[in-house]
Amino acid sequence: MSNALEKWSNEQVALVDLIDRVIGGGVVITGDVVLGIADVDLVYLGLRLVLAPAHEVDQSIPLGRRSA
Amino acid sequence: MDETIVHAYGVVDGNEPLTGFPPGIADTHVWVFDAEGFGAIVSRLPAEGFGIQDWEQNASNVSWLGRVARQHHEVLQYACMNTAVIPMRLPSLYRSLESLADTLHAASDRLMQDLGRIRGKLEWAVKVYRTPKEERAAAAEGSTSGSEYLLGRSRALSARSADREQLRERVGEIHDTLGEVSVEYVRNQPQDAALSGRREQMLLNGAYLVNRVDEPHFLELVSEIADGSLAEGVMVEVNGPWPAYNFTGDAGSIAAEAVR
Repeated sequence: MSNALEKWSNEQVALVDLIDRVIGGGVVITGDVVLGIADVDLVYLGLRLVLAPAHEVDQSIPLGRRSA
Repeated sequence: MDETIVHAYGVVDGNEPLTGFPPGIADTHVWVFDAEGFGAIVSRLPAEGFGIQDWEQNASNVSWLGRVARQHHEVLQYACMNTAVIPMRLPSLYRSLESLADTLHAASDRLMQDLGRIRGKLEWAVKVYRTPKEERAAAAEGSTSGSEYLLGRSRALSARSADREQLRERVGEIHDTLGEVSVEYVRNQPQDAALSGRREQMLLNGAYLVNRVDEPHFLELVSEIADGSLAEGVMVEVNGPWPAYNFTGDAGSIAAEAVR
C-alpha cells in the first residue's frame, strides 16, 4: 500500500463512521416495533447535535472487538 | 433482570447455522432466531435500561449510544464475514420474538429482495479529503504592500475557485471509477469536520457494494487512485469491509437523494 492511501480495518472504526451507518443506514422494518421511525429520527437528530466531541469521547470507549 | 426486550441486529437466510457471536448490546447472548424462513440475529436486553425512555434520554449521550452502536455493529460485522446479512438500523427493538416474527413476515418480500441484492458482496467506504498541504500553499499567497496584497488575494481566490472546480470533477471521476468495479455505489453527504474531528475538508464520502471476489481489484484501484491523486491535492482513505448498510432497505435511495 502506498503512503497516499490510508487504509484500516474495522478494528479501529471511528465512531462517526459507525453512527453514519448504524443509525443512518441499514434497515428499518415497521410493524410492532417499540420505537417508531419518527423516534429513530429523533434519536438521530439528537445525536447529530451532540456528536461534535464524539472523536474525543470515542477514545474512552473500549473496543473489545474480535476479528472474524 | 425480569422483563426483557428483543433487540434484532440483522436478518440472514433461514437455516443459517451461525454461532459464536461476540457479545451483544449490554453483553447479552446473541443467537439466530428462525422465523418465517429467515434467521433473525437477536439478543434479549433488560427492559429496564433499554426501553423507549432510555433511548430518548440517551439520544444525546454519546458514550451510551457509542457503546450500543459498537456492540450492535460488532455482531453484524461477525455475521457479515460469514454469510449475507441485512443490517438493522438502530434502534431495533421488539416486544417479543413473536412480534419480531410477525414483522419479518410482513416484510418478507423486501427482505428476500435485499438478501439477493447483497449476497456475496460487502460494502467498502472510500473517503477523499483535500490535503492540508494544499490549503497551506493557497493561504501562503499573501504579500507585503496593501495593493499587492489585494491583487494577490484576488488572484489566489480565483485560482482557488478554479482548483475547487477541478477537484470537484476529479472527485466525481474517482467515485465513478470505483463504481465500475462495484455492483452499486452511492455518494453520501460529506461528514462534518466537527463530527469527524478531521481538519481536512471531506470531498467524497462514498459507499461501494463490491463482490467479495472483486475486493482485491477494488483495493488495488483505490491504491492506484491514491497514488495518482497525491499531486492533485487530495488524500484517499478506504475502510471496510462493512455489512451492506448503504445497500439494504430504503437507505440506498435515501443516501442517493442526499447527494449534493
